[in-house]
Amino acid sequence: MGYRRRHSIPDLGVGVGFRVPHYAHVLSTHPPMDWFEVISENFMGNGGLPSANLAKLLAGYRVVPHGVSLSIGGPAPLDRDYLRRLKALIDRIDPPWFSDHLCWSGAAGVHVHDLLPLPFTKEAIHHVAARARQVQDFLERPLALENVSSYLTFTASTMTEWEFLSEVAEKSDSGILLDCNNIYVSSKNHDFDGNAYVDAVDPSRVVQMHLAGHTDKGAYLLDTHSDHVNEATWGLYRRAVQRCGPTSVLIEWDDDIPGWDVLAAEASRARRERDDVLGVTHATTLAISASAAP
Amino acid sequence: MTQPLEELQTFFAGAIRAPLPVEEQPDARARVSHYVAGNARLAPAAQLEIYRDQFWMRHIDALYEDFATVHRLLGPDAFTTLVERYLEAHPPTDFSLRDLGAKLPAFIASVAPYRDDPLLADCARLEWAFIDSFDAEDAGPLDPSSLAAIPEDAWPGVRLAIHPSVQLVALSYPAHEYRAAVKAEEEPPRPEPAAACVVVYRGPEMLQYVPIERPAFELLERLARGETLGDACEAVAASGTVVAADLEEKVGGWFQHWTASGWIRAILR
Repeated sequence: MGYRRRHSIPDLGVGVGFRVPHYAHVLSTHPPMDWFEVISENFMGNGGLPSANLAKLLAGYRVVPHGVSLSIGGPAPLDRDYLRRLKALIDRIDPPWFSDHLCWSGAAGVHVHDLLPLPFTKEAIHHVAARARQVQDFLERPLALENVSSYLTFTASTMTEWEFLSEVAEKSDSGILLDCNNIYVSSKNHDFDGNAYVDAVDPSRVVQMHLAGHTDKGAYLLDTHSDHVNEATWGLYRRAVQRCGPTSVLIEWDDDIPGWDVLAAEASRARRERDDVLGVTHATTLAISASAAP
Repeated sequence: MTQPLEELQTFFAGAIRAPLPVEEQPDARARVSHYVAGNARLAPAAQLEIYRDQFWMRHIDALYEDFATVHRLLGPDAFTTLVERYLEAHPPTDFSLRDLGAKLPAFIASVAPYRDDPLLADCARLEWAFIDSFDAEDAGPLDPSSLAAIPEDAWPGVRLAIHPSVQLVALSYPAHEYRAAVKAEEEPPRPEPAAACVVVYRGPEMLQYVPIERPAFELLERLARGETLGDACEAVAASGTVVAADLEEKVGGWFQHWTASGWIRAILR
């Protein structure tokens, strides 16, 4: 049985990230949206306005926490205080899964607050997989690991990024948060075929997808979440939906954040793309079923 | 090529949090191509430099957001220098950026040339008080019936539990007015020295601040430290900031203000 079915991971539909400029609009007018993602670390405090805002959001929407500080590939022992606070947040939200990034964020006692790439090596796979298992055991909730954008490759790497991601997910028995923009950004930065990446990932492990925009810096693309999703990323998304079927998807927009209407329109496009692909799939399925009927 | 993962990560993290570009760090420049492959467009050092840029941009932005008034006083270049010096002395160790600036007020108050400007230290302490108030632990309001239950002769022995969001900031400059003008995107002139006692607290919907008179502030400080009402009043009367005969009447008014503002969450006997 595949990972998603084993953990009864639902398709939540199309969501957006819950960000400060939209708090008042979302919490007072309750616009239609299938679900929201919150940055875990922004809601791990003891109280105050963040906690009150989360309570209001939970009253009206499905919410999934998305972390940026787990540092699953970091050299330091897992941060028990962080995990305890994350567990309290997860218990409060009660999401079908939680997510963080396949990356590391610090070394030698310093936290650099970035999503740093790992070398694609067997050593890194064993290191990350063991820690991801510990995290899931402690939090008692399915973990989805997200592929990150990267701006360099390591001389030590011995495999492709998609082979690395797949083996980490397999060995740790984790889900995958497939970020189509990150695939696109890294494919351009490292001259690989993004379609090959999408085609290689085990669809039964993909519990969620991300869509976002980026910035062209000339010699490289930077993952800024500051713009519309570009056409090539929509193409990767369609391909991923074709392979994975109905899967929760979320628009991330974290810099130069537009008005709610622009963000909601981007989510609507995700829904159209998704429905379009799934509509074709359903028709095909029906045709096959019909032709196979006695 | 075998490279212990931790060795690579230690090199990487060290290079990207250095204030100098990778090309200008002799050790990083010598070792970067051992770890980083590079490509036809970017040399290994240039690729690592992207992460170093991001490290500084992210941390300068985070501290700018929390200390906009300090930024305004120093200007962008000197603020960047302050952040570089601060993070060299206090590298970020917490998973959250929330506490990145926790030691900045003390750093500014103790390190030259920043320590020579009391307004900078005032602004930094005030801005950090807003951060601490923002996500302080929740606590219910004072139960009014608990007041009626206290016999008159028991009042000198009571202690007050102050709401966790209440932050008390004694200033030598009106940094609260200066901060308000900066937040309103005005271009305020540097204020003249004028002592002020400010309470920052969380209202029902937003953070609030209010200057209060010095004796009230002193009393609140003592009560927040756990002194009994009687001991705190005696100490304030002895400090000479208020005429002792007026104190009893004033305390009643202050108490009403504090309870109405939600600063007191319980009376402890």
